Amino acid sequence: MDLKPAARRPEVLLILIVLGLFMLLTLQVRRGGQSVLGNMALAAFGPLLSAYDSASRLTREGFQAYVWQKNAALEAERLAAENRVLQGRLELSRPLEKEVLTLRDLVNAPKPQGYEVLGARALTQYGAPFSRYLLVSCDSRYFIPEGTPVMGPGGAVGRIQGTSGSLHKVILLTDPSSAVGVVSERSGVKGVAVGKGSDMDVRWISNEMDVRVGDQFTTSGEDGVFPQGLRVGTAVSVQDGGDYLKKITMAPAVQMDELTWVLLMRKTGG
Amino acid sequence: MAKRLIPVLLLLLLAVGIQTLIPLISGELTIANPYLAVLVTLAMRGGRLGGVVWGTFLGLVSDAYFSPYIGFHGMTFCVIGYLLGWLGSKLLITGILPMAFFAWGAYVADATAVAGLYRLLGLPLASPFWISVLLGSLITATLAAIFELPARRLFRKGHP
Repeated sequence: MDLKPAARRPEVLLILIVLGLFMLLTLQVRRGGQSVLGNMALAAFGPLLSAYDSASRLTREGFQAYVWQKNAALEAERLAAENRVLQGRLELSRPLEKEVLTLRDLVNAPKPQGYEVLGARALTQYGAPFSRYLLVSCDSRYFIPEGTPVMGPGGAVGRIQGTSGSLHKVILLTDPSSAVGVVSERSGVKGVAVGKGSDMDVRWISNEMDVRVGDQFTTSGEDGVFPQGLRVGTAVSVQDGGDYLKKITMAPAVQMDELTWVLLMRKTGG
Repeated sequence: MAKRLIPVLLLLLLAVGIQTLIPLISGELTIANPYLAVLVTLAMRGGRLGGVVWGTFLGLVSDAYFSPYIGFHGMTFCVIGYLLGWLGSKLLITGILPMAFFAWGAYVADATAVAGLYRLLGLPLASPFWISVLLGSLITATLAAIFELPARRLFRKGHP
């Protein structure tokens, strides 16, 4: 223990500090922590504490802001992906919505007496440019006789001309070989609607009869195929002909190229 | 002198940063004392005098932050710093695990000494005290291991 005074400096310092701090503590505790020295220490460390608090708050808030922003960015990315998926689903659902609306129209359409209706899916149109056919699919359990009238949303579409299993060929009203007895809703004038490809002619109406542009024609029921009262089309052009018969052009009530579902109207009973 | 202080300041900044960020992970982790971890790093390299000086300073900082009274940690850190400085001058210790071990021991010693002083001065102790000490000592040991990595580079040329 014969160390030089300089070598003993740490020990001396240690003892002085420990004693000093112990005295300081004793004084503080005796006065309930409210000693002058305690207050002085608080004053000395106050700025440090304040700086620490500021730094701590700043760092914490900054970190939280960073976390929030990162979360927000991730959330935005997730939402964008979800949005893309939803947009895709929306695109897929649009035809379904249209189909549902079509089916609703079909279901809500007034059904003629003496007929039962069967739903059939319209698959494709074919036969152009010479013919206008529609291929429909119906449950093969049902027997669909030839000539069965077919109805779409808005009115008559055509009649069944051939069947193979669940597939049925419909000859549209716009087919040049198609003819259906019609009557004007307004004036009760009767005629025959013959297909022209995209629209129809109404024939066998004399020049004296009262027919105007915009008149609605429905099936008269006199052709023995279509029930009475199905809407066929609207007159878009009416002219007196040189052969005493009017030349009437009629736009079909049903958009034939937009058909997705149709109703097959099968006769019941006799 | 300034060159010697810069690494110390960097370590202190790291300690303040860790103490600030630790509550973001878990409030339980605030029981750790990063200043004690810094003291282990400094005292093991600074000898007895360095240990006493840095121990007193860091202890008072700890008191300012953690204690309702000024001097408890100042006193214990001062003694711990002296002992670590003495150990550092006698032994050549460079590993991370020994540093963590010394930090663990220093935390337990500090807690025991402060608890003793509390009893001596008739102050109430929080419970469960020793479970908290165990948890705090383990986290502080981990922090000392973390501080040792930059300290190796910072104090390559000199001692604090």
